[in-house]
Amino acid sequence: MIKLHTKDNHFVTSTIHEHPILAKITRRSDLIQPLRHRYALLWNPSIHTDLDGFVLILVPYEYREFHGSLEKLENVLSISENLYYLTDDDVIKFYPNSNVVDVLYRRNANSNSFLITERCNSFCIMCSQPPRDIDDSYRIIDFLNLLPLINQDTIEICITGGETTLIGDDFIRIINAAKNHLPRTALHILSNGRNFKNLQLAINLAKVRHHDLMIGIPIYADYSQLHDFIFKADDAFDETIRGILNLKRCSIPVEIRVVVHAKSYMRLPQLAEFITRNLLFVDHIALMGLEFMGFAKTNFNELWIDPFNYQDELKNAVEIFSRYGMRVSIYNTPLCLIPESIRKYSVCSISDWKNDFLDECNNCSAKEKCGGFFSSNLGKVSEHIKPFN
Amino acid sequence: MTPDKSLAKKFQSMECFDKGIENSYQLLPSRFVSLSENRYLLTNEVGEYLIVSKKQLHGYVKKTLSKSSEFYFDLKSKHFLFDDDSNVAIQLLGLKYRTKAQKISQFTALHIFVVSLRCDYSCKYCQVSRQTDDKVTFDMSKETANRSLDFVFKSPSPAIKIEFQGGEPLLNFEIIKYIVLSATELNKHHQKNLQFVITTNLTFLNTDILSFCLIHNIYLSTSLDGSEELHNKNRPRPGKNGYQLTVKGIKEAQLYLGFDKVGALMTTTENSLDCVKEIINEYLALDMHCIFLRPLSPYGFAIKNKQTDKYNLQRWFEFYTEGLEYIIDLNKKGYFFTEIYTQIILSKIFSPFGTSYVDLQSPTGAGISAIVYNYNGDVYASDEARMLAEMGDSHFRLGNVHHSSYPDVMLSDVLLDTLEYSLAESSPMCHECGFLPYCGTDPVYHYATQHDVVGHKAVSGFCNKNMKIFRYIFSLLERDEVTKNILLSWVRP
Amino acid sequence: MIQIPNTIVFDNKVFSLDTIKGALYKFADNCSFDISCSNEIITVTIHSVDENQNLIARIRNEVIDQDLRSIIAKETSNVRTLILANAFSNTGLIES
Repeated sequence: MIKLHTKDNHFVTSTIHEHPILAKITRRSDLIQPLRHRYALLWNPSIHTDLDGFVLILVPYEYREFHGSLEKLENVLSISENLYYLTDDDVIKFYPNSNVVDVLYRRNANSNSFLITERCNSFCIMCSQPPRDIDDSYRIIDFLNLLPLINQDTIEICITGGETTLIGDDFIRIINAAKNHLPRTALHILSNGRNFKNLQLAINLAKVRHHDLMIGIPIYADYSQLHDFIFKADDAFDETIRGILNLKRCSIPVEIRVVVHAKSYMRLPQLAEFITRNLLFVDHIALMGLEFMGFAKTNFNELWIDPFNYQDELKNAVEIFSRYGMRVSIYNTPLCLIPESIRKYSVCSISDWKNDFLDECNNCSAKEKCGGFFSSNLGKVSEHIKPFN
Repeated sequence: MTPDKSLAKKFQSMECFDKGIENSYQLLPSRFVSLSENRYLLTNEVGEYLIVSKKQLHGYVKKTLSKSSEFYFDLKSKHFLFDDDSNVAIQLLGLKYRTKAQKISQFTALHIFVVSLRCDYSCKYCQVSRQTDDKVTFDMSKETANRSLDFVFKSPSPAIKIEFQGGEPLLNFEIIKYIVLSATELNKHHQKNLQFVITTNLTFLNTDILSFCLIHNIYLSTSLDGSEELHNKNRPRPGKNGYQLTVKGIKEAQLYLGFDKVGALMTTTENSLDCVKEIINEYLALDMHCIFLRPLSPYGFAIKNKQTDKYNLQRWFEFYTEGLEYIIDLNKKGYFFTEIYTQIILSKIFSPFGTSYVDLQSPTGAGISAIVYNYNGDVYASDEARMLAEMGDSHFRLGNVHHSSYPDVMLSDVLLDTLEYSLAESSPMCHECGFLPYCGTDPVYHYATQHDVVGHKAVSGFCNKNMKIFRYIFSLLERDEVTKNILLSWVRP
Repeated sequence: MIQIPNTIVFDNKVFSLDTIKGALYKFADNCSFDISCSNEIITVTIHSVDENQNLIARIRNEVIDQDLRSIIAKETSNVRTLILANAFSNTGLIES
């Protein structure tokens, strides 16, 4: 697991900074002067050039004995041991009042997600990011400021929440910005789709003409009572489906995400049939193992099922999707828990910063191909984990 | 880790999210038909199905079933009912219905050109061919071809298939070449997906013809009725070597054009009924992967007797089921092999799209899905309509390309009346039949056998045959997972 | 060939004439029928050319099935119109 949020950072020299700073990391101490105001230099002892102009000079934990030699410089920040992984082109946000460093973007990450709001119009029983009804519009500004600092050759970025469409007009604004600043980067947006029941929102989204956009929308059951129960919101089912229909009317790519747990696994094949008969035109289906964070952790007893015990339902569902020619992937599930005939649909989907393996996985021949576990799930795992030889 | 009590309170039970819990539910359009003593097939407006017991059926219609039962959820999920909790079903059904009906709006896709009536064979069941050398009288002329092609490209269908029939089409290969080249030229402007098929006995196949077929991607379809003895008995020709020539032709064509460019059909006669496995084996020996176990032709026989002959139908059905069991066994052993009529029906059950198979469409595919241009320019609503005319009744002749315009033909009374009156959705028995979404209407057959395009389905061989086949297919789907998966693998979108 | 005349009696408060006719229509392959109505009773006289023990039971069952069909037809005719109107309306078609 990698920590993206650290507090044990502190200035070791004087600083002019009072307000939060957004900075891109570089190890190039010879970076030309006019550019330095956007960069934080990642310092090492072999640097002997003039370091004026960098917005921050970051001294990794391993070089803490060198603090003394830097006393003539300004804005030198000693950073947490947990930030050992920082490298060129990563982007951080530093809060001088609390000494917090948040790593907002990592060039080497397998995925970069941006939380755009914690507000939500639903209350899913397994939500790993429980809603908070606060004014977090600062996140939108942060994202807009961050976009120009992200590498242009980034393959994909993801926008999540809360419910992303709740940010109103800013929803279109941030997508436009992503299109303009990152014209070669795919954009994956998670939403429950309910607000797209309003066709105009879908039309406005289509008008942006983003080059590579996909909306990820959850459906949990093939009938409304169960879906709404899992969503903890009346009318969620109807609104979500109407939203999907409107998005597809506007030719916007849609992915359906199904989280598999004790309440949803039993009718997984029926849900697969429902989707193939009614929503054949969606672009991708993701069948996802559960991350036990947030509400999922609170409701653990209601939700936990050993993935080994829903193998049949999973296999049935995947076979139905592939028979109808729909693209399907299995996320967040170790290979040893997936029936052999459908292992090829498994994807290494867990964000690297929260991805871990068990000790016994070190002996497994399939470890490279396996998605492993959520770091937060290591406390309770299936009884059927077995390395391949 | 103490659970957050304030959060837990918000996680209410299922009933709190069920707005439909107070009231009963409402039925969505559905039909049913009995499969056997206590089993019914329940189908919705777009052909999704559930197999239910009599008790379940009554519970569903009379609303006595439990709203927390899995059966209730199945009915809701498959759009047999809706309740106060959700009504997006109506929008989804509209969308699905539209998808199924879309092929109809694309209009005539299959255009059959009868390029010659001359033939070297004298098959017992053929109504049409002439043993003659008179090319002038019985061959299609360039002028007829040109005018027919005008008609072809008036169809709005984005895909056009031109099928050459006869007699023996290769006896007039010159006109086939002419039509293929002209159509390809015309298509530069229309940009349709253009395909060509020649149905031929392969006697006159030579390298020039094969080479032309290769260049223009032409598919060859021939007749293979079974073993040498059976084939030659059904399909006699001077020299008594029909079988040899056919097999030789198939092999040559497969090598030259590719295995996927050559197909064969069989016609069933009295003589075929006891040898279905042998017939299928002939197809296996030629590396083929499908067969069409066609029913006995009703035209000659039934016109004499004016009703369906149940005895013959039962015998044919046994022939068909024996064949299908053998085919499923082949699949179980790893050889992919399908029966075409079964495949079409399975696709109607499981695919969201409609079929282009003329005999299982409602409204009928006659004219609006397929159309026939005879050697002399006469336009017919279907191939059977042409056969009927050869036997003396030209009821379904829609016009002639030499003196009728496209609207004259497509808006003719006989075509429009036939389309309207024979619509299954408004025919007695059909309109309420559980098999309706999988069946069709065959006005030419019913006109030939009952002198009425609708016909009384209780005495209809078409209805009788199809219902037997549907019941059998559903029993196969229910037999076991392996059989079901094999059949599902046959489904074409 | 034996002509077997036989009668079934229906209570017209339970089954409508249309329901009964719809059921009998299906047996035209080997039967013909006389139907008469009086007060509360519908009488069906069967003329069958086949000796078929089950015929009366099958007819009764078919009448019950026809009754179910009439319930479905009555309840769903409006929503069916709505579905078809939806299907053929000029909204943006979703290309599959």
